[in-house]
Amino acid sequence: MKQLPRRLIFIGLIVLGFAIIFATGRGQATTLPEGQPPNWDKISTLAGGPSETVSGENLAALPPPADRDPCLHCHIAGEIVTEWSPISRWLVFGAMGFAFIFGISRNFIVWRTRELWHFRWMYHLSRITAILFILQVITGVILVFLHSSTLEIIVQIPVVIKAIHWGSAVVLLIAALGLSLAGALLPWYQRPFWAMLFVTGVIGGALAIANLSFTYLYAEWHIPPPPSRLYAFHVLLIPIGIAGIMSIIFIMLRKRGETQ
Amino acid sequence: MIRIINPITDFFTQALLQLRIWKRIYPGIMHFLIFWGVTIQVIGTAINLMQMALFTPFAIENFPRSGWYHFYEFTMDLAGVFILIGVGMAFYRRLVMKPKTLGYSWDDWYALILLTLLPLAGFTTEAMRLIVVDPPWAGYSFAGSVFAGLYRLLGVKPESAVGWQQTFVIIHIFLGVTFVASIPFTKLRHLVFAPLNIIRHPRRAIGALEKVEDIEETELLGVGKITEFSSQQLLSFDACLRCGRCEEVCPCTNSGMSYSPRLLITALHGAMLRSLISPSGNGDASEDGVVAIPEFVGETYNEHDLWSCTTCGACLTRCPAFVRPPEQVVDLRRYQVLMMGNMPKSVGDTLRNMERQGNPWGMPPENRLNWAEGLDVRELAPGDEADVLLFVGCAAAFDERNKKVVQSFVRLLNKASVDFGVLGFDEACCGETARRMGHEYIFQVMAEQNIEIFNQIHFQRIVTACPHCFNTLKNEYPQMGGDYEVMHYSEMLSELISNGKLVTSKSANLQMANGKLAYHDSCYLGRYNDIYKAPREILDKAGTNRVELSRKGENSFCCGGGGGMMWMETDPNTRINNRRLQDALDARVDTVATACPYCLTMFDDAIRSKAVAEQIQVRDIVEVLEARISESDRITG
Repeated sequence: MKQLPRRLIFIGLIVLGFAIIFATGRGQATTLPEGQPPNWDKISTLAGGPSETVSGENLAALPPPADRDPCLHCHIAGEIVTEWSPISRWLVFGAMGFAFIFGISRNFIVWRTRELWHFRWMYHLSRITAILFILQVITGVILVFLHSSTLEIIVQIPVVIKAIHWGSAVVLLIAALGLSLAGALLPWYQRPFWAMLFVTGVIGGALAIANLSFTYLYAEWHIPPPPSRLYAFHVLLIPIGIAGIMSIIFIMLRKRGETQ
Repeated sequence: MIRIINPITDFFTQALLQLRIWKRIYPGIMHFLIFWGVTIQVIGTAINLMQMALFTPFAIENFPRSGWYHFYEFTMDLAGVFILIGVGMAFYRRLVMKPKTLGYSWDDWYALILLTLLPLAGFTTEAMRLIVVDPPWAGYSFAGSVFAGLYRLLGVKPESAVGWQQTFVIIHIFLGVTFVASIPFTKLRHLVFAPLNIIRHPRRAIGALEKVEDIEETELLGVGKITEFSSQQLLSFDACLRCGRCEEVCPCTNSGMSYSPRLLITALHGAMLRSLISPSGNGDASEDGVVAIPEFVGETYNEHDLWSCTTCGACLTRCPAFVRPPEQVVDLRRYQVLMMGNMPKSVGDTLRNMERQGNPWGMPPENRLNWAEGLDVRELAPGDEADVLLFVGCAAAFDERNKKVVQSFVRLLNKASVDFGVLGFDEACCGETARRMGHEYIFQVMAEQNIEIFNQIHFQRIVTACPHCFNTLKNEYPQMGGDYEVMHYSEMLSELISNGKLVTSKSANLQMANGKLAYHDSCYLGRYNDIYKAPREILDKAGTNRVELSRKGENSFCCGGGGGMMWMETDPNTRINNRRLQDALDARVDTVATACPYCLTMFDDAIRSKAVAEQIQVRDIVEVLEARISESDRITG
C-alpha cells in the first residue's frame, strides 16, 4: 500500500503516453451499408467467366477489395455492423481479456504475497476504482481538448479514446449503481419498492445503452452543445468532488493501515 | 551485465527454440509443430486484425491483395496444418503409446481438443469462403482448398456456404477467445509461466543449494508449509506442466520407488492451488476467517517419499521449464530435520555421527590419517606452503575399499613429483552429506571450519578425491566465503598425463588390457560439473578396451548413493545400484570404472547382493591407471 501512489502515477503515465499516441491518430471506423447480400450473379460470372479486368488484373483472381473486406477471413460480403456489434465485440473480447488478466494477475499476486487469494482480491477493488478514475481523467482531458463547439469543423476523435472513456465510465457506474442499489434495497418498504421498479425500467432500456455505444464508437459523433451548467458539473465539479473523497479515503487508509 | 544477458539468451534458446524439448525426438517434433503453428497463427491473426480500426493508429490501410497476400495465405495454412499434425501426434502418444510418465488429467484433453477444433473451424471457414468466391489463387490456401473440395463433395453450394461461413467464423472466434481466456486456468498456463520461469530461475550452479542466511538468527529453517516457499519457487510450480521428462530419467522412479519429481511438483502445485488460490472452505477456516494451511510433508505428501531423492540432478538437466525438484526436496528436508527433528532413523544416526565424530561413518577422528601409513605424505600445518592441497574426504579416509584408491592416487602424485600435502587431522568433513540431508547447520559449521584452515595454508589449488567434496568445495564454499581453485583428481591426472609427467606406456609392446571396461559417470562429476572427458581420457591412455554403457554422459544413471542415500536403509527390491549394475551386465563388460567413492561402494554392494563377482568387478579409474603404469614400468624394467 505504501507504494500505491507511485504505482498509480506510473500507470497513469503509461496510459497518458498511449493516450497521446492515440490522440495523434485519426478514427477510421468503416461505415458500410448494413448486411447487403453479395451480388451472386456478378461473383459467379466473374468466377466462371473469362475476364473482367481491373487495372490489368482479373477481378476474380483478387481477394475482395479492401473496402468490402475489412477482415479478410471473417467477412465475405463486407463487414456487417448492427447497433449491437460494438457492444457485443467489447463484451466478448473484454471478457476474454478480463479472464486472462484476472487469472494471470491472481497467480502473480499469490506468488508475491504468499497469502490467501481468497482474502487478497477484495483489497484490489479500491485500486481498480482508482485506476479507472485516472483513466477517466486522462481520456476526458484529451476529449475536452479535441472537441470543438462549432458544428462546421468535424474533428475525428480517435475511437479508442472514446471507447476507453466510455468503457471505464460504464464499469465505474455499474459498480457504484450496483453497490448503492444493493444498499438501498436492504430495508424493504415503499421507497426501495419504487426504486426497484425504476431500476428494472432502466435495465429494460438496455438497447438505449447499445445505441449510445454505437453512437460513441462508430457514428460521426457530433460535438455537444456549448458549455452548459451540466457540462461544467460533468468535467469540473463532480470529478473534483470524487477526487477529494478518494484522497480522503486514501489518506485515512494510509494513516490507519491498509485493511482494518 | 550477465544478469541481463543470461535471461535473454535463455529466453531465446529455451523459451523460443526450446532446445531442451528436443532432447526427446517425438515430443520434440510434436511440440515444435504445435508451438510454431500456434505462434504463426497468432501473428497472422494480429496482422489480419490490424486492418480493422481497433488499434488506431496502428492500422494497415492498404493490405496487399496479391503477391504477398498469397504468401500470407500459404503461411497461415501451413501453420494450421502444423497444428493439426502436432495434435495428431499428441493424440497418438496419449491414446496409443501411453507413456507412464505423462500426466493424464482433464486439462490435457481440454487443451488438445481445443487445439484440434480451432484449426478445423478455421479451415472450414476458409473453405466456405473459397466455395463462395472460387478464385484462381485458391491454390495458395492449399489446406482450405482441400477442405473446400471435401465440402463440395458433400454438396455445399455457394448460396448455402455464405451462411455456413458466418456460423463457422463465430465458432472459430469463440474457440480462439476460449483458448486465450483459459490460459491461466488450465495447463495452457505454461505459455506464460514457463518462459517466465526460464527468465527468473536461479542462476547459481546446479550443484549449489541455496544457503540459509543467518542460520543462528533465522526462526524458520526450510519449508514446512506451501506459503514458506519463495516467490520464484511458487512460480516454478505453476510453470510445471507434468510432461514427465523428469520422471523418465529419475533413478528412483525407474527403480520402482514411489517418489517421482513430477508427482512432487504436482503435489506442491496442488497444495498451492488448494491453500492459496482456491481454499476449499469446507470448515478449514477458523473463527477469524483465517484458513489453516496444512503442513506439506505428512499431511499432503508422503513422508517416506521425501527421503528417496538422491539429488542426482537428472531431472535438472531435462526440465524444459527449469523447475528444480531436488532443491524443493532439500528445503522440505531442512524443515523436517531442523524444525521438527523428524527423520528416518538411519538419517538421524548419520547426522549424529557427523556431529559427534565429524564424519558420516562415525569413525574416531584420530583414524583420519590411517590410510597414509607407509606412504610419503606431507601433513600441512598452518603457514606451510604447497602447490596442491589434497582434500582427502571422509570416504577415502575411513572406508577400507576407498583407502586403496587414495593410496594409489598418492603414489601417482609422488611418481609425477607433484608438490602436495594433506590437512591430516585438521581436515573436517566437507559437510555435503549433512547439507543434502537437510542439516544446513552442520554443513555451515564444517564449511567454516575448513575455510579457516584453508586460509592458513598457502596453496595454488585444491584437489579432491571425491566428486561430492569437489562439488561442495567448488560450488558451495564460495557461498561461505571460500573461493578457491578446486580440481577433481581425474582432471589432475589427465593434466599430468598430457604434461608428460605420468607416462602410461613406455614400451610399444604393451598390450591392450584384456576384457571390456565401461566408465560410469558420477552425477556430481558429470551432470553437476560437466566433467565427462577427463576420466575417459585417463582410461583410454591406460590402454583399456573401453566401451560405453547405454546411459552415459549427461544421461548417466545414478548409483543410488547421493543425497545422503548412501546411509539410508532401503527396500532391497527398489535399490538403484542393482538397476545400474544391470546396465553394466547388459553391456557385457568385465570391469566398471568409477571416479567416485560412493559409486564404488554402491557398485560393490550391488555386485555382492546379486552375487555376480565372477562376471564383473568395479575399480576406480586411479587403480586402473596405476596398474597400467606399473605394468609399463615392469616391462621396460
